[in-house]
This record gives sequence, structure tokens and C-alpha cells, in this order.
Amino acid sequence: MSNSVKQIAIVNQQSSFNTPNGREALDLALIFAAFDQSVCAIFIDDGVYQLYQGQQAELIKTKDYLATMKAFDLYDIDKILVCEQSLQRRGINACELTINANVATSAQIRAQLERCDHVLSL
Amino acid sequence: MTTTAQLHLLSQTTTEEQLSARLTLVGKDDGIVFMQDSCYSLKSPAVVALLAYQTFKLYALADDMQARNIDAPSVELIDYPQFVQLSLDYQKTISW
Repeated sequence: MSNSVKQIAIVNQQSSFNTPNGREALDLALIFAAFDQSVCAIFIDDGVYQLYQGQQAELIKTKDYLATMKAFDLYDIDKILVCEQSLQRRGINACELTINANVATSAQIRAQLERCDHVLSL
Repeated sequence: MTTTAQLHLLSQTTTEEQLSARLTLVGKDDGIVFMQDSCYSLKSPAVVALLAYQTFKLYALADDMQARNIDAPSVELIDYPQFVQLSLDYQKTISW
């Protein structure tokens, strides 16, 4: 049975609300986790905006999927990598993130991608 | 306001390099409105620095800024009726 467990990396690279990508990436991550796959969530480029604290999606009549990120813990998704350089360029501090994530260098993210069986990028 | 002043609408995230390229097309009497996910860009110190000494007016849709928890003192927050009024005040709008 353990042979059927795959390591799946889901890479978020789009900002929160202009495209549905962020929400779909989250759905994917939770579905894979629900089927006992090993999921790693990675946030790079504009994807880091999805983790910025204090956002209120209801003000722009959008479903607040960002709050659902807190369910990562519940689904045993504990490998969460956020690109350090992407945060820095956008003026976001690691302490301003909504969830407990590992701030990682590009080299560390690259290494994680190598370890995964499948990589899905949204 | 001159009759040829344009209102530029930004709706996507932008880096300081991209914005710098865009600003070459913005006249000194023009206005820029940050809306949708472009509001996130105002969190970047490099973007704020780039906008600091410009002569054109900077606006942002208040709801879009608040929804993303972005605060930018150098930008005038506007609501939807003000946005409509602005689009009438300028010669035309240009969506990038």
C-alpha cells in the first residue's frame, strides 16, 4: 500500500483573486491529501500574496478560500515552502503570513521539486 | 486638468521593472488607478519608491485595497462613484 503513496508538489504562482488558480490549487492539495497522498504546497512569485495576513475577500464579493489554507494542518500537509526572494521583493515579512510555513531559498525549493514524484503548477 | 489627461487603470500585479516601463507612457497630468490584484504591488517598497516623486495622481479602489489588507499613504483611496466620476473627468481611460 505504501507504494501507492506519491509525493505531490503543488506550486502556487498567481496572485489571489484575479485568476481562479489559487483556489483550484488549494482544492487539489486538499483532495490529494484526503486520498492519503503526500502533498507539499509551494508558494512562489505572486503566489505568496495568497498567504498575506488580514485579507477580507468578502469586500470584493469573493469566496474567502484563503482562510481555508488553515486546513492544511488538519489534512496533515506540513511541507509548506514559501520563496524567500518572492516575499522580499513584494515587501512581505515572514511574520505577516497567515499560516505556519517554511521560508525557503530557490535552491531549497528546487531540491524539494526533485524529491517529488509529480509537480503541478498553477 | 488638461483635456488630454488620461486615466490609466492597472488591474494586475506589477514589479518595479514592469511599472517603470509602463510609466514611460504616462503623462505628467495623467492619473493611475490601482484596482484588483494590482493593489498588492503597493506593498512593495521598490514600487512605492518608484511612485514617490511622480507628478501624476495616484488612486486606488478602497474596497480592493482593504480586501487585500494593503495600506499605501501616498495613494488616494476612492469608492465606486468616485471612480465613475474620475473616468469622466479624464479624456479617456486606458486599461493595461
